[in-house]
Amino acid sequence: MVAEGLIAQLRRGTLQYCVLALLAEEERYGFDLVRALGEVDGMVTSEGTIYPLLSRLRRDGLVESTWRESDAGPPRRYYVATKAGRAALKAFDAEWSRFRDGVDHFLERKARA
Amino acid sequence: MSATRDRLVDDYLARLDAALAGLPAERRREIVADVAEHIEAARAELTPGDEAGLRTLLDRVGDPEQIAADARGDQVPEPALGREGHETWAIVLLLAGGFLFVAGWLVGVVLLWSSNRWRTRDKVIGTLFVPGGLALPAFLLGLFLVTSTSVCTSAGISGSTPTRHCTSSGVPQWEHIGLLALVVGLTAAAIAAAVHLARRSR
Repeated sequence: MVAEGLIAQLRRGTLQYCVLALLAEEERYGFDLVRALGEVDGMVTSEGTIYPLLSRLRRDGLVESTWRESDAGPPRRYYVATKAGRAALKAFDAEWSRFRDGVDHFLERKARA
Repeated sequence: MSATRDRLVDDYLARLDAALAGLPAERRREIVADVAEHIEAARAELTPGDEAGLRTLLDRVGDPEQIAADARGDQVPEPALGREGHETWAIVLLLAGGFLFVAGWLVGVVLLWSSNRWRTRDKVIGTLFVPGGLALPAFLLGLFLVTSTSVCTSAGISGSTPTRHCTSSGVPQWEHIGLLALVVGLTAAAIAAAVHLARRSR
């Protein structure tokens, strides 16, 4: 179905901002982040794909990581949003609100008609 | 058996590593390490001995091919493997452009210096070895031939077969040999520089 393909694309495009939002206020390690994303059904189809995404966010300077000792085993990599990451998130937030409201406007209109 | 479970994880990580082939080594290692860490963290929540749980876990981590596809999608495209057109032309013109009234060589120099594939040191080598490219030794070879053949003239006494007299025209022999050596040396240097540039452009 066309709608499914589109949603998958939207998901791909917005996932990085969901990740940035989760990392904006506190640092998390990979598994924890994945679990948090899992709170919303279908946000993460394949958990492993978070790691290429985090790698790219690090490369782009939107996220930074630190290794920390963990009592539960080997050291863990903790991720947190950088200043640039938080700025990008803020910009996206504004764009997204506008866009979402725009689409909703038409869909709601249609539902009412 | 914990051996089976460890093998499941190892197999999975091996498949992931294989799927990531072609990516820069550093990135590849990093992604495999991160996913391995993730699996360990998730495993900690499983009851020991729960193989079915482990398999479900690995399913949720996802298909290695999918992870690799995402990683590849993020990859900044490398410059095309092998030389791009400009670099090839630079080498060709540096070598042979001198035959086009020096202008060809000059174009080669411009292409050489405007390329971002070579370090400054390589560019200096390309310019100095040899100015004019192969045209320079070719020119000197021409000089050599002219000065040496002019030494041999046909002297004919009417009525008898002309004899060729090769006499020294006043230019000492060693200068001829020196010129020839220079021609050979410059040719070798020009070709060596071209080969060096070719290797460095990858």
